[in-house]
Order: sequence, then C-alpha cells, then structure tokens
Amino acid sequence: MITLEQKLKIQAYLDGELSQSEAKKVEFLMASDQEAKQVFEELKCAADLLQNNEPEIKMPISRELFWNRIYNEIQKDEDESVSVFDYIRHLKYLLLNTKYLVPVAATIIALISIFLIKDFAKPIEDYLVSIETTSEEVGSYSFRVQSENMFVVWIYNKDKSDEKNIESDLIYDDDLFLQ
Amino acid sequence: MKWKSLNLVLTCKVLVILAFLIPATPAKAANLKLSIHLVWGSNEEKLPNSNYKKLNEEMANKLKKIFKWKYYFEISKQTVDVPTRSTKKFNVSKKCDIEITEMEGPRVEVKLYGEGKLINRTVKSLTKDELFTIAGDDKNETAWFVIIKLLEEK
Repeated sequence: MITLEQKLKIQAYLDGELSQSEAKKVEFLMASDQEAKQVFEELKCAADLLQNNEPEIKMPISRELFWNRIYNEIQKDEDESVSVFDYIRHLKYLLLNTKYLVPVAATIIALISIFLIKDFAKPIEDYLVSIETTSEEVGSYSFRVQSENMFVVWIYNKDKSDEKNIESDLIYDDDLFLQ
Repeated sequence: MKWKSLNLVLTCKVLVILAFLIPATPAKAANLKLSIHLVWGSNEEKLPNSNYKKLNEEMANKLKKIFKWKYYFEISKQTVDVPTRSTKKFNVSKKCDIEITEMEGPRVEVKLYGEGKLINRTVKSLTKDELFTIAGDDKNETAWFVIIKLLEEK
C-alpha cells in the first residue's frame, strides 16, 4: 500500500519536478512495487489524455485583422528583398532632391575645409628652426634647398670670413633661402 | 518599400560638429631612427684616406647640385636610435660628436661638438627623406658634412 506522499512523488516525477536522486528513488519504488507502477501508469494516461484533447478556442478574425495580416506579410517580404541598388537609388533620390542637396553639399565642403585647416594648423614650432652657434670663433649660415629636400647649417671660421663667404662654396642659387 | 524618414540636415550638423571635435592627430612619442653620415667633400678624385669610400650616388648627386665640390667620400655611417624624450651622443669621428635629443612633435635638437667643445645647436623638425646637413669648409679646399636623415617617421 503506497502512501499519499509517495503518490505525490510519482506525480512530481511525471511532471519532471524531482531532483535526480529523488527521481531515482521513485524509479526504484515503481520497479519494486506493483501498485506504485500502476499509479504511475494511471497518472501518465490521464496526463496524455488531457494533453491530446485540450479544447482549442478559435477567436473570430475580424475584417481589419485579416487585412492587417496580409499587409504585414507583404511588408515583411518587401523588407527582406531590399538590395544595394535600392539603397543607391534612395541615396540618389535624396541627393538630387534640392531639399537635401544644399545641406549635403555644405557638409561635404565644411568637412573638407575642417580637415584641410587641421592639417595646416600644426603648431608653428614645427616649422621654426632655432640655430645657435656657441663658439666665438665660428659663425653659421643656414639655408634650405627645397628641390633637394635638404636643410643646411654651414659653419665657417670667423677668422677666414673676410677671405670668402658662403656663396663661394655654393653652386646652387635657385630656390635657396639664406638665413 | 517603406523608408524611415532620414533627417539629413541633422545628420550633416552632427558630422560637422564631430569633425570639429576630432582633434588633429597628435604626434606620437616614439623612438627616432636616424642615419648619420660623415662625408668629406673634395675636388680630387683620389681617396684622401684608404678607409674612406665613395658616397652613395643619390646623396652625392644632391650635394653636387648644391656645393662646389666634385667628389664626396663617406668617412663613417651609422644608424642610430634615440629613445623618446631623451638625449644620445654619437661619436662621428675622432674630433666630432653629435648629440641628438628627441623632442615633442617632429622636432629634434642637434648639438655639434668639435674636440669636445659645443660648436652649434640646432632645433628643428625632421621629416622623412629630408637631409639635415651640418657642414663647413676645411683646409686644402675641402669640406666636411654631417648628414642626418630620419629613417622612420614618428
């Protein structure tokens, strides 16, 4: 004779609510007790019966709901079939539409200007050259030859400076900036 | 096909504001990789010293276009690294040393020492492929050139 508690355990086992260890105990009970097995079979049968014969209530479909469903299905298909060409076409439309043309053109010009300004707006120190000749016996000239991408600091001996000057050592005179 | 309304004007405004907010790319602090050449200029083709060798054609041609000397010889050449925000001194010849300091941005400070005495100090920005030359004439119508070249942009 199985107790009410055991019956409830069998029900819980059927519903899959038991832990692994408890489930094993119930399985052992059903294997060893014929009555327990019979209770399990009855409960399982009742559960199957309820599950397979649950009445389905169908709501009446209104006209509006019917057409909405069709519209939604069409919309879904169209959204899925949007290609790259559709985007390009849309973009073209937006750009050619005078309403958008002005702000888009203004933005492009503004962006280009900003990046150009930023490029030119490097710190002025980057372009400055500071040259200091620390010896009293020597002096220096400096010049840049743009075409050869060369910056030269020419150091000369002050004692001999009367004899010749920097130009006598140079053969290049175009594009030369003596400082 | 139903397009969501796209507010282009607002998008444009946002783009312009963003462009202003994005700062100009700051110069990264990085090690300087340089080459330092010590070159001798002469009007005589004969090597003044057996240890000297002919300067590479590209550099020699550049010098020939600017200076009066016909022949250029490489006395020494070294590839050096200057760690970020630090100073390193390099011996170029027995009498000449170069001290290079890596500074903020693309700038460097170059000090030229002759026989241990500071001769010249130059602070300038270095760009890749630019030749920064410190030079002077010497006896017997010759000249010396210390050529510093940035090998890798910071």
